[in-house]
Amino acid sequence: MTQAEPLPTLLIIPTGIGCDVGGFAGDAIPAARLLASASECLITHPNVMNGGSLYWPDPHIHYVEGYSLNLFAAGEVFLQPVRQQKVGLLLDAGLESDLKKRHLQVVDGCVASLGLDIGPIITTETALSINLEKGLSGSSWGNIEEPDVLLRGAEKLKKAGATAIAVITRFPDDSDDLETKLYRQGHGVDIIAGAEAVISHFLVKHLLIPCAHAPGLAPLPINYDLDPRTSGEEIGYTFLQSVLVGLSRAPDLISKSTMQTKENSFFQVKTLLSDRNLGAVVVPEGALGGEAILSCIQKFIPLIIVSNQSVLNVSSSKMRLDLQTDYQDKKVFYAENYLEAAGLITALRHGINIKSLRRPIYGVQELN
Amino acid sequence: MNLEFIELELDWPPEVSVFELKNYILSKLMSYGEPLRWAITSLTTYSEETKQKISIEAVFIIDKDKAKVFNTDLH
Repeated sequence: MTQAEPLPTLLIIPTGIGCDVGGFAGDAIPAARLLASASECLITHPNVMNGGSLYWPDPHIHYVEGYSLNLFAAGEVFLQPVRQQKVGLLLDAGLESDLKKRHLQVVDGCVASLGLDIGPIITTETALSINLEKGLSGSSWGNIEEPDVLLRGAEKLKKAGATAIAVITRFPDDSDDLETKLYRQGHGVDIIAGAEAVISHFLVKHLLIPCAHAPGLAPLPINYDLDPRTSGEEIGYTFLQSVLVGLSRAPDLISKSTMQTKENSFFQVKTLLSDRNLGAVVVPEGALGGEAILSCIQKFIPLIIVSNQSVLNVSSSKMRLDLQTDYQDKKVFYAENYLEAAGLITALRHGINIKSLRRPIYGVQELN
Repeated sequence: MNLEFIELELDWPPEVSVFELKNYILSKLMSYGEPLRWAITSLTTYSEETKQKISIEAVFIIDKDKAKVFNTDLH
């Protein structure tokens, strides 16, 4: 095979919608690794890469939080790869002292054993109160009662030199909850995931630096009927380690307005990733109604739609993609799984006509 | 400021293509507050097959000092 340039690819598996692949504890990491290998440049988000205690650093994977991913897909933000972020830690004052200490020990471990640069560390002025919600669709959502407290803490970290922020908030313990029981058995949605996404969206919106969230939860009692996809969240005391590893190499977020100054546009343009570089976006079949996907459709970016069941059914036909025959015929591809999606990315990357790979194959037709 | 989770329905007029859908939705959402995180969570087609309703779940940033008056199609 001839050498081909990387094909920047966006992998989206929305948070809190119970995807069969990616709806649990980093269980889409193998798919992300495969697509990163096929594309040599994968942009994806914490829901895909955070496996509680488990993580996989990959030089071809860019860890980009969901709000910034939306801005990136919209062309409002560019991504600047970095060697290392200085990850500030924002701890909820509502964390009990033992739970707080567990998280600080994770920080010590990540510095001592992984070589990460972590700090400054601060605690919020008052305890943050998190409400977990569920939409009519079955998706998980959530809310912060005192967003100003959260924001003030994060602003202090940024001012003190943090270039990325990991935030740990005390989430309600819900081990007896039916949702949690179902989740641990591999059914239903991750009930806390939606609130986590809201927290990180909120911080990125205001600070425009990489941010990600880890929930502070008391350890769950052992479960002998655990779905393997949730195991990454059962084998440690915190979910922080994967967040710190992801953030430590998360690309800087460069706003379009910053780029419009002459000096920045001159020297950065070659090293930045922009939406214009995107060669494909990979998304579950029923989850076509997210903001980043709509931006990609708007820009005619090739869409790889993967069968990956969730609680949503926002499909290509419901989105009237079938009415856009030119886009549908040339730029919308369907994959039964992420193995097939990797094949499609390889074909796009190497300029192999995907129609040549399918049967039946039809003869050419002259234009009327 | 406050964050609020809201579920709402919008009409998707036939003349708005999928390529224009994001801007169309954002223009409608702005009347509720500043959208922080949102997604289309279902689409319903009516019998005449030209009219669709979009269900959206969203979290908005609401400025306490400039609290919006919400439209009546909120759930």
